[in-house]
Amino acid sequence: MLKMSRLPGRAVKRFGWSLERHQLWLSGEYLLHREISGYREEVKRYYYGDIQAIVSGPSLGFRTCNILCLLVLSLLSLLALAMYLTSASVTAYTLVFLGAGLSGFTLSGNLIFGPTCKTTLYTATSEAQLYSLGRRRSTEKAIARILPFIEAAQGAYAAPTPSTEPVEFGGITSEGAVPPPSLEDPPNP
Amino acid sequence: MRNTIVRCSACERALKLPADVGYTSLDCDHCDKSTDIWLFPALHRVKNNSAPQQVVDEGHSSCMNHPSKRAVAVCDGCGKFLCALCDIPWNNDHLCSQCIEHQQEKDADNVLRSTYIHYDRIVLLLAFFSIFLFYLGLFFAPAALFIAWRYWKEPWRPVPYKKWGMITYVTVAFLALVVWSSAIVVAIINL
Repeated sequence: MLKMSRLPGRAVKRFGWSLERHQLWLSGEYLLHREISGYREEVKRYYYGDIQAIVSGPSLGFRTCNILCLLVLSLLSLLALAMYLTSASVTAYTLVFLGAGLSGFTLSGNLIFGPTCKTTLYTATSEAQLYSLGRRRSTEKAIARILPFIEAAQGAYAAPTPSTEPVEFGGITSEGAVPPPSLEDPPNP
Repeated sequence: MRNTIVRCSACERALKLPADVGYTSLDCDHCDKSTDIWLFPALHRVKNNSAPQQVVDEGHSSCMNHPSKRAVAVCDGCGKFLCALCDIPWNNDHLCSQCIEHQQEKDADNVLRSTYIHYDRIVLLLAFFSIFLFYLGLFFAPAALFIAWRYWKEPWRPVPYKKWGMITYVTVAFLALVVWSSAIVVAIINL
């Protein structure tokens, strides 16, 4: 059996009062989604044979964060410059410079980590947002690692063809009568 | 089984999926945002016998839970006859709901467990308190040792982990207990 390994990407989300850390792990049989909140952890297992689709699209986080940080950075930098030129107290403009530095640090971090995205995994019974795959780059890396496992479990994708076999709904088939069961009829235990 | 509707990640509207490709990058009709989509064969898989069948004649065996339904499988755990509704495919086996429950109790691989408690972190916190909360350490240190002993064999995490951390915290809690006990004994003797 394949040893479990962690996939790229992590996320910390706030749900009400609690903070939840999200991680995604790869196993030989399933994809493990961990939600860690304090001392408690909830996991969801998505078996490779059950995964129907993975959808990943851009989210607003990257642009919003960049605009906000840039705005704060420019305002604080201008303010700090004005305070410096008008010979305000050293402590005051140092504090403003520190604020500008902090927003610059956040901005550069956001630019380094790259664009954000929202990734959703679909199975027949559920659709789950994979919060840990919130950055484009980590999503691409993670999906490249997941795909071989899903293909090994389900085979390569082929276009659906109209089935020649009768589709059965509640005992009534498209061909009329219910076919006899293939199970041998042993005596009831 | 529900019909899976794949949605645009930006506007949440349903996307028109291509029929013939596994991977595609689609532009949403409503918001024009580009979305990457990976489709897998499970999307088009139709589960046969998803509805229980009626018993046709006396010669057929019936489900143990639903006597009016025809059996389609035999439980690999207990040998019960199961209809399509009661049959739960599990690791290439067919199990009934009772056997799944039993499996959950003696789940060696922990693949049915969905909640884990990080006991090692609780012991770490108690060991920390036992050092820094002075004489209250006399309560926290035994609590840490008790939790470590009680939940040593429980799985703390769903992923591989080492027990060295827990051993360290237990040692710290034990030392704290010894130190605080000695301090109290010395204080009593001095009095």
